[in-house]
Amino acid sequence: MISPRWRAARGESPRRAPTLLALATAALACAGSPVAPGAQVLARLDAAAPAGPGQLAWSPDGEQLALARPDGLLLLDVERGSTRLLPGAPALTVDWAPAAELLLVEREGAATRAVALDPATGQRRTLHADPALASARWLHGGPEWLAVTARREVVSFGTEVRLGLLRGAGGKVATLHSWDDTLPTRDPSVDATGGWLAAVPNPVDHRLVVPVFHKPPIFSPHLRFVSIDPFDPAPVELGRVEAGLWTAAASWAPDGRRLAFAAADGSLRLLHLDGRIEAPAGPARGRHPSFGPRDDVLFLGGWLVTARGEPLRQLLAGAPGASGLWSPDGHRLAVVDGGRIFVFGGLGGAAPAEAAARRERAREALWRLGELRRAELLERRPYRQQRELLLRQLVEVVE
Amino acid sequence: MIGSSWLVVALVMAGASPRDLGGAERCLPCHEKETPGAVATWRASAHARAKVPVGCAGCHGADGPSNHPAPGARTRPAVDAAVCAKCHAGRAAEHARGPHGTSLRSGRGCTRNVEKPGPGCSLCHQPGSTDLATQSECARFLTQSPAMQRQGCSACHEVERRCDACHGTHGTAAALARDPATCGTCHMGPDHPQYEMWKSSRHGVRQALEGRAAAPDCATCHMPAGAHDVGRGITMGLAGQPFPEARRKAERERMLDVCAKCHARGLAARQLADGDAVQRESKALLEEAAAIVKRLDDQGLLEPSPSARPAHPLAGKRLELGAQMLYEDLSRAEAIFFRMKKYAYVTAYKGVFHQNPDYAHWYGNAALKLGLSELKSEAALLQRIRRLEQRLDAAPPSSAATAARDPVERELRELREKRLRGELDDAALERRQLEALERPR
Repeated sequence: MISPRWRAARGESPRRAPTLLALATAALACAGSPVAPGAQVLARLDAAAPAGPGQLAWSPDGEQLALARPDGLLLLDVERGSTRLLPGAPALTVDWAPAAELLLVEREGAATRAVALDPATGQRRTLHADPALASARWLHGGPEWLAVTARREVVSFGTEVRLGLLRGAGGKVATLHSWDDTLPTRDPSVDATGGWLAAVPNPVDHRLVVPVFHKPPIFSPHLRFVSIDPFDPAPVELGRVEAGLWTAAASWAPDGRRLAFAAADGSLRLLHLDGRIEAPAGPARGRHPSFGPRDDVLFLGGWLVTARGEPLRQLLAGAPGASGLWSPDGHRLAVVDGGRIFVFGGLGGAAPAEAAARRERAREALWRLGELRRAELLERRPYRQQRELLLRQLVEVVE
Repeated sequence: MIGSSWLVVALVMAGASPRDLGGAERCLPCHEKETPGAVATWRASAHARAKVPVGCAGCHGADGPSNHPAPGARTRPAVDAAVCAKCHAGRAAEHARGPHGTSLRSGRGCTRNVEKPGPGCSLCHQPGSTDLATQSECARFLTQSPAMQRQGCSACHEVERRCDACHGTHGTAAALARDPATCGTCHMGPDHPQYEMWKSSRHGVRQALEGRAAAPDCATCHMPAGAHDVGRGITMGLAGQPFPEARRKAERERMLDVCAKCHARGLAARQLADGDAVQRESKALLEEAAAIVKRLDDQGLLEPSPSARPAHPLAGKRLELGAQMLYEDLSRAEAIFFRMKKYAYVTAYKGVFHQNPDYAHWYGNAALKLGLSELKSEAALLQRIRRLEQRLDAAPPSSAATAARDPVERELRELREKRLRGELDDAALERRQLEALERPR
């Protein structure tokens, strides 16, 4: 199940290697080795089923990786090379960093619930129960959270999908936004919700941006990217693209100003907050781009690429559908490819400390501003003006 | 064969000589029994009486399954305007370029205009192509049940491609198409009561009393000399959208040419100019109303809000006040606006153009202004409820607790209290909030 491959180059050494290496050998024998030459693999995991990016979460210190699995939650100590299973109901998604507690969505029979889990003690608190819960994430590090519900029904003319965005705070759960759509297919396996489930709040201004599909014959098919501010949740359209896909998993740049997603042909697209959609000319192709903590590096289709779509370095061969999750310090990357998970090390690292500190200050100021709006102490116009001012100041300092 | 023989016998007995019926001989034996009304209408028509008669196949095509749908099928052997155009090319071309021929095909047409609409490929794709059909954009049509789509939408809105919408099926009597009552089968009711306006106007009453030659009706003004472009003389779009000035002037002159047959041109020009003025004034009232509804939406005061009700088929979960506005699941403010826009606004200025002061004033102008009053009152009430909610939510004015909070929050709370007490209006509140946020501390 786990295969840590320690590399002398990073000065790391196995501390509990024997059993793990045995497991690794078995895994390799089954799976072959798509790892690109020169890539530094710290560990391999078996997800027991095809996995998505929402099934992984890094600990705040980047030392542990949590994996949501059908038998509960598996914790991998990357430093030690050990694993620990916290048995429980089948887990669908997990979130960790930067909260101390883990946030799970787990399903047991017809019951689905969002659960806060203390990894040290194994204690659980049910935050919310809803059979349609599909994904949950901490908001601003917790204890508030966002969750997505997804209901789908196959009907004679296609598939009806109804999505909801919930916010939980202080024991109260409110629906921020809901959306239903009709897909022109009856294929039950079609991915219509991936973009919603993978969406994470903007690392600076906390807004969630999700893709909404519009179908023919009413329109030529396109994806609209809709921004939802948890403090002022009237949806705002940021931009739209002609769609060959029904959803798109997207990733925020650490500056919070660009959202990366893949077009139907796998090429990189960057949605800017002013609605501009940039199509970098580089040859990189993939399905799920993932920005690293440094502004100009992404994981896409098994490669590290620049924000211009130019390949830097291959990590995994033949993995166009792979998705990546960077550790908070940017040194490690967990990659999900089907049912296999690879942990790579020796990667770039974090953004410069000064830039990170500036973003953190802006993030806190925007959160504080949002709280005033939520308390109805601010009208919408002054709230939005001030928010734009803070974001503009951040941009001007950076530029 | 037996039926044909009886027909020949019947014709001889009736003293008529057997003659070519344009191929109808093949159909009549059955249709005399099955659809005697249709046959009788056709027999009396110019088509049947012509030297070279136009028989059934001339319009419906050769006998075959397409003309005899299975029992219970919803299809029928309707005759498209393109068939009539083979002989009546000039009129068909006029029709096609006028509002009857183009209004719903141009721009955002309806699903029913997708060629051969049906459950097959053509519902989504353009015929003969994998390209997706993109013209199926009529929210009101899309929101209805199939039965209502057929009866409430298509029963009128097939005029683009159906000559029999005005001329009736199987007959050719021009008098039928020319009769205002025929126009009134669609141009009536609360959204555009032109027929009622005309009928109770001086023009309509005089015609009722003294006959068609005494006063104008729909065709006199809108189809002079039988012209089939019913947009002649009309100076604005369906909802008062302005035409380019050159076109507007040309069309106005055309209408004045009609009016001038009875009236002094100057008098007619002043009457029509009043119609223009009423349209502009009414539009301004409508825009004021639209701004109120948009503001309520912006403040989250519409109940249900666009984001909390079934999605609009074109706009999604957003406020839609334009041509695609629905009348389902609206807030009270939107419902007031819908009635103002769809009924009162158009009635006010069309009432003037159709010389009916009562419609222009009471069903139009008064209803529009009452709607605006109602809307303003509704908006004020919603604002008051919001302020009361805020007062209920506001923390008790504990000086110790307030002092402990950060200065920005304290100042914002004080501003809210002032707004609740009516010491600040909305604009002043927003300005003071911005000042509080931007003040260096």
